[in-house]
Amino acid sequence: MNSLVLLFIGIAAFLTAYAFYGKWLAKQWGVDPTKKTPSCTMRDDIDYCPANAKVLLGHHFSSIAGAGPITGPIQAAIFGWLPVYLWIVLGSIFVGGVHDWGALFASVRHEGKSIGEIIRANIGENGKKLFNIFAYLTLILVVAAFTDICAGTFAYDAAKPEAITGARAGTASILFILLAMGFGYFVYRKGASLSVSTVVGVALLFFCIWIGYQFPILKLSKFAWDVILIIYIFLASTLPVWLLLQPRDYLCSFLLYSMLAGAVIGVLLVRPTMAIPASVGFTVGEGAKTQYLFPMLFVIVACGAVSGFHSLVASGTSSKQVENEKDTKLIGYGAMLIEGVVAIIALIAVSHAAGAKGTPAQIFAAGVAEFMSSFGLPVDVGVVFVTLAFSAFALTSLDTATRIGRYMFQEMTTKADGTKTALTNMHASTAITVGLSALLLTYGYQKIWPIFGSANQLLAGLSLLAVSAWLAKSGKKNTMTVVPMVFMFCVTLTALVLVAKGNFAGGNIVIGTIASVLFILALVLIITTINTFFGDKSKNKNVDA
Amino acid sequence: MKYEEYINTLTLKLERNFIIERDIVLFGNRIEMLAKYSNICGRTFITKNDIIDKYENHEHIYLKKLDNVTEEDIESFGQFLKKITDDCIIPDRDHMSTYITGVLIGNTMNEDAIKAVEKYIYRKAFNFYLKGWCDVRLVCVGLDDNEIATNSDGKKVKKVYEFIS
Repeated sequence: MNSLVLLFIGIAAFLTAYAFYGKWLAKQWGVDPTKKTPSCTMRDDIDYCPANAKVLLGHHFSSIAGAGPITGPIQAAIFGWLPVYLWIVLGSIFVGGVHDWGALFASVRHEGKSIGEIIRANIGENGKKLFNIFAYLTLILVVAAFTDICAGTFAYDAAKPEAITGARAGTASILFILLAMGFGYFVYRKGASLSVSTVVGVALLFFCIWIGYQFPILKLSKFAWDVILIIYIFLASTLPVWLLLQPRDYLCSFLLYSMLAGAVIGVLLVRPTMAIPASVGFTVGEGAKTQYLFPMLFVIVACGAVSGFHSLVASGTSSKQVENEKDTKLIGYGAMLIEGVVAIIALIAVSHAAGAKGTPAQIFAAGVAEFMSSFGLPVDVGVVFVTLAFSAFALTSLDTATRIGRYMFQEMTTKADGTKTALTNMHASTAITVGLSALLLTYGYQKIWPIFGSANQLLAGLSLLAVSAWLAKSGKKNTMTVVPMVFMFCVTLTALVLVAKGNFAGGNIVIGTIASVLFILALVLIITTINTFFGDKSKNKNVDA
Repeated sequence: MKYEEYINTLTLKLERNFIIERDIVLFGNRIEMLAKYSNICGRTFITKNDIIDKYENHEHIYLKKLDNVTEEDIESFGQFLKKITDDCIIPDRDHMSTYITGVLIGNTMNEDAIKAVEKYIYRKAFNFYLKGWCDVRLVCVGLDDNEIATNSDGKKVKKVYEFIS
């Protein structure tokens, strides 16, 4: 099968779904372009501020897109490209897109309150604590998974001196971090013009890639990179946000969009054939490493088809800026479908690089660099460029996850009367969060990713539950949210049982225990949330439209 | 331009974004106008109270009226602004920047005063920039000749204090 056909079918399916299914959803939900949104009725120009739909789409997409939609499809490719492709397309249209749009629209109809806020306000103090523990464990898994992937990507093996791609990308990444700090210093402190600084910064960014390519001086082991990345995460999460993160994220966006543009143009020019099998059956692997298509495919693809994290972004930030209810379709549904396209490109890349070994970043870089070579970019340089872009994505996810994890830990260790403890200290809570993630590094991302996927998808299930309850109470049809909700609960709970069982059998007690704890927390949260929305009528006022 | 007209025009300009106080005494100095602006940015998670990160930028304007501005006045006002910076700016971990703008308004200002303004510089970094920085901008306005002089950091805000007829 030619990958170009898959890409076009995918895009055509997304456009058709956007036009027709989107129109149907808007009609069923009662999207009303004449109704005033919270950004207008509650405007304070701080949180509530109307924004142009296209601008808001850009902000929303850059907030939800991380390394997840690339990592997930690449890892799931062990099941063959066909099931992964079908899940990306169908999942994005009927589950992920509906979830993101539903969360955004529900929030717009609730004065811009987030889904999490609505759930938290309704499930009481104990429910909130459970939710915190659940989210905290998920965040630790995220940090461990992406740290391991980045360290594995940058690692240099002295036994294979000719394999210096990792050293090149690692050197370029460190230079990029230093460049970002310098960029921030000149723009913020010295008042340098942003447009001039951007041109110079982007030029220097590509210069960093060239330096890394020519002089790969950081030939370090995986362990050394683990240590460097752990230190980096700690610093990035505790340093002032304007000192490192803001300028780095700003420059990163240029890296990201040039990589995506390069990948799409490359696929159009190369028109590669899918080189991995279409399907390898229901079961992959043997013994403790056995993976079943159901449910593992649906949790491993993760953000490529649906992600609970998106509902937090959609209802937490974007909903306060929506200018018109009709824009929720473009922002909520449209952004998820664009992410679906990114996931398809990742799948095509892994197929093109069939046989390539290494981390998802290395496989993705190998595939995309091949595509980019079609318009003259040397493969070796392309690999460094794409690896740098991927790691920049991952480092952003790492930093945000660590900051949120730290916040949750501080909240959990603050006494009921508001008294702070020694553990509430910013540095202590960051060190504990990062330290717990570091302990998981020995297990490797392959074992961690399925649990992260399960927890993230379960969050999506909870958001769909909240949206379904609201639609029901508003007298509207909710089949379109109930069906994906039930499916996601079945997938995630089954996956957690299998992951726990597999890891206990394989002697990975810590991972098995985390999966078991998440399973129990998930069950309690689902029951509590169902009781909250359907059991106690006195609390229903919070979810009424 | 008359002082009253100038200060009214400036007040109209500033009051959209600044909180303005009139006629206060600070460290023994009478200040005709104190204007304060704060911008707080950050990312939150789930609720507004769950702050992942945050940073603050502030600007304080201290405006003083004199009859004629001399070099000694610049020296004295410069010392006052330094004292404000050292004693009143207590940055916390979310602090990114504070700009102290001192504005001296007189009917005239002599050449030495202009030179003293242009030479004036006071910048302070807190905990090696980990708690941000503070820069002092000095602006001197001569109403009779429609003159305006600033130090190097004050150039960025010169337009704000230029005359509107």
